[in-house]
Amino acid sequence: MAKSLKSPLAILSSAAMSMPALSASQPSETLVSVATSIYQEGDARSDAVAFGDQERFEVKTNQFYLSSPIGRNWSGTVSYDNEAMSGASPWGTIEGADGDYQLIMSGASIDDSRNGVDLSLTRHWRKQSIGVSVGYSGEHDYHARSVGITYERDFLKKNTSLGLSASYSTDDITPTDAQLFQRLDSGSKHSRSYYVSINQLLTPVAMINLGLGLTRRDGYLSDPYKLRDVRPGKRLERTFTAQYRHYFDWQSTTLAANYRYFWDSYAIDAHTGDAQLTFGTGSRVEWGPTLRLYGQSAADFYVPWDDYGLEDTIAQSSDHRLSSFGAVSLGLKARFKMGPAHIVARYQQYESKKHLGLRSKTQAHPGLIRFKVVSLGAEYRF
Amino acid sequence: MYANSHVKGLGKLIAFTVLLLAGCQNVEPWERDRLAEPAMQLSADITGSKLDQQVFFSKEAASGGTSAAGGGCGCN
Repeated sequence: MAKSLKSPLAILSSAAMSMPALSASQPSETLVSVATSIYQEGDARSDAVAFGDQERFEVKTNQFYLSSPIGRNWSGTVSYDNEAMSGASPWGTIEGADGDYQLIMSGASIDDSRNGVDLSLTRHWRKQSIGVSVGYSGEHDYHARSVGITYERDFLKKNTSLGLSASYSTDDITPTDAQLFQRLDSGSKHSRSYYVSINQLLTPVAMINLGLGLTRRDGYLSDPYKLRDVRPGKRLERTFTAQYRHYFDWQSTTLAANYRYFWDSYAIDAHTGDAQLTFGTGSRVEWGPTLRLYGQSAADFYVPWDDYGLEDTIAQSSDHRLSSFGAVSLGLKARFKMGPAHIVARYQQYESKKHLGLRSKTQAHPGLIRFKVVSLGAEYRF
Repeated sequence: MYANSHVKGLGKLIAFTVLLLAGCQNVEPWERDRLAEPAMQLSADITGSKLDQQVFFSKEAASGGTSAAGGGCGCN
């Protein structure tokens, strides 16, 4: 067992004030968090582009988050995101003269913004809580509205916690230049999502969380900005997740390790694993590296290049996100504490590769991306 | 066949969960100071986690796995 460094009174206070991970308990403090980030994709290779711009996406994001207890039995959260996107995106692929696939890109004239708001309110009892949430995300051509409900219950002296949640969302899209490019005038999709998880304290320094998720989407699921993209109108997605946390006395190190298995009715399955080490946990400077590995198989209607000979009722898509590929992501994160105020800095680098994909049969998609994300944020707790 | 293997997988998962719960020691409240560290929480960095979810949701086919999914965006 780990040796405790705090006095018994401090331990009891911290345990009472801050419950571990998933718990039905009311939060004990108010948290205000702001962050600004830049996401930058690497340009497409010149030999991979048959038409259009090589410049890929850049996204600037500003975030605000507030979480607070309300009275003796309630708590609430407010979250706001603003994104400004610019750059070019793939319209489709064609087979080049040498047999390689090449991208047809849009011009680098895409200039859009997104605003997202999420609100939640939770009622807490001694061993359980019920929360409701609403959300809205709006772009000039896309609007999504969602509602959700969450139930959490603690068992066995709060060694075990059960979480249940469900949500419903409806999304509407009205593509720009619909008549000019013979795109769909408008479309909508509906998503129903369910999630169940169990959180278990294993020892005084380790805990695990296991979760199962189910999401059913139906409606217009294709990408209207592709030259030819026809996807099945129903999609069933399932996830299994395992999240593990461990505290080591050496360098006051925390390990956060997560795994997700995803499988859906498009015949895609995917493994995602990530780990983050945090050194100096509880000290004025916490820092550590992150590693994320991802691999997915292709959708059963994925085609390497668009086939205009097929009727437009037959499913096909050359979207690189539906191809077989994998990705490696490396990052570094640091948190500087000055009393109740924290400064958080993050850097992440991502590179997707065909050979890391599952059951890969076709050539590498020329649209596979690499990107960097730099974030700077501030938190205040009181 | 595909569905059968997943049903078997789910059965193994439930069995694993039951064994896990049966094998756990009781952690008393005064032993939980390390478990209560912010870095030990499932979402230790809320804004960072939300940004990651948005980025990966828009660039990969797999998504979800931390809660019931909310609304989408034009990015995917």
